[in-house]
Amino acid sequence: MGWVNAIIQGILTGGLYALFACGLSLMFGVMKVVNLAHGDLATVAAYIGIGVITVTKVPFLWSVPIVVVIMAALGYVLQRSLLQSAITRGELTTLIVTFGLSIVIENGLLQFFTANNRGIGTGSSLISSSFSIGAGLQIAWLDVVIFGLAVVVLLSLQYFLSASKYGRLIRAVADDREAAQLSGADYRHVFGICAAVAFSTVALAGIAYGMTTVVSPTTGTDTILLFAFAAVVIGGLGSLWGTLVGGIVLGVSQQIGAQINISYELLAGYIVFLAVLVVRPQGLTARRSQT
Amino acid sequence: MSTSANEAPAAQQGAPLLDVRDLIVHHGQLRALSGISLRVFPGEVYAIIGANGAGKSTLLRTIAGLHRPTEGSIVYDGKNVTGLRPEKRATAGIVMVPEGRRLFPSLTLEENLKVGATFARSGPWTIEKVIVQRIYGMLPEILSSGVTVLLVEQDVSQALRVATHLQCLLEGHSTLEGRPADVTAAQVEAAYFGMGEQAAAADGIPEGSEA
Repeated sequence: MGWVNAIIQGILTGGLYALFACGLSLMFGVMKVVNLAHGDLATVAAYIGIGVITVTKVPFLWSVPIVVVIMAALGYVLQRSLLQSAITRGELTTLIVTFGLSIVIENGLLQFFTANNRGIGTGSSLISSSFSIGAGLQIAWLDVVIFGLAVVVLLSLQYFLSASKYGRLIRAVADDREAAQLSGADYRHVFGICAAVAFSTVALAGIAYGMTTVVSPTTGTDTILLFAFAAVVIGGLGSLWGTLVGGIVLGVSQQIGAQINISYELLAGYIVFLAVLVVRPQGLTARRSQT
Repeated sequence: MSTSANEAPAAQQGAPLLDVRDLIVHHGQLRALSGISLRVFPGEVYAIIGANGAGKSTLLRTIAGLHRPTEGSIVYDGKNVTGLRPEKRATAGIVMVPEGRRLFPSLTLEENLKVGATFARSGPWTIEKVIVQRIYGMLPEILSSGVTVLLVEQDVSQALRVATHLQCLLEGHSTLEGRPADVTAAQVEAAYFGMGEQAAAADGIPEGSEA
């Protein structure tokens, strides 16, 4: 039964990893920005959630849209200022700038929130309750909710990109920035909108992580960024549903590794990640190759 | 080039729609355009011809805003647009159709048109109208509706056939300017390939012979 349990838990964890990964994938697919501060921004979102609940005493569910809006606004501003000027200076510059941003965020969080772990209190029994599907298999409601959230987020992103005006512009700018300019599109603004959308998913990822376990100032780089990268690469760069596939593969690998020996959990995930890089570098859900 | 080359013929009344003055453009260290001037009047089809590397594409891209000129000015419809970004120029009315079409490959045909339509200025053209009729068949109609065209072409005979005005570039310099009817084939040839100085000296002044 241990193996079935491992696979089910792995699949559910994959939903959380997809949440981590979809924003990273979107930013890379459209702006060619490899956002090394991605995980730290998710941590920031978790801390903002904790702060909003602590200070305003709003119920947990109310805090979610507040954090999403704050992060979306932060995404637009950050893209139009820091990231845009980095993009203008070249692709390597964005790596250095986001790496620097990551360090600044981590140390800022250490300064203000100390190195202590914190969790997001939902004030609901949901966070700890689970249901049995027989034969000793227990599934946590929280994992199911987060997996469902990931699917809803991916569906919304897909709908936004394929059917909305800004989604169309985002795809056009990703295809050919110059031609989009000649059509009258201000690509900087379109990038800003795209970053706002990506940061909204980052906000949800941070909150979801803060509910599942605890966050500390270094969680972003230690855990979220690495898992997001692994999920994106396994699933295939620039593919939205690939992040879910990649997340599930990563989650299942980790759980199976842990089943063999608890210390193999992370190792198993990265072995699969490296194996995919060697055998199928375009990812499992390869579409057309990105040019 | 001297400004005398840019004096509008008597047929061109009123203010120019596009007035480019003494444009100097560099690609890094390389000087791609050395003081190009041109004036395009409403309803005109103005052809820019020249061999590979003459500066035709640079000129168009600079007018569209994709390159910043080192010197010179671009005035569109009485407004100086030299500092404007390409998307602002596009919405103002300077629309460049880039080489190689440059469609958005991951978008459908309709989505490609919708991207353009997002920032469209009001006019007689809708997506339905464009799709129903073939765009090439509509060219004369587009022209008669008052659209002004600045055409860049390597194929000289093609350019001469449709143009109402002509300017030839060579290595970033203007070598010939005038109305197609007023320039001889020999002049065009000399200006195009840069043979002899007489092409520059003649400068498109009519000699009475038809091209």
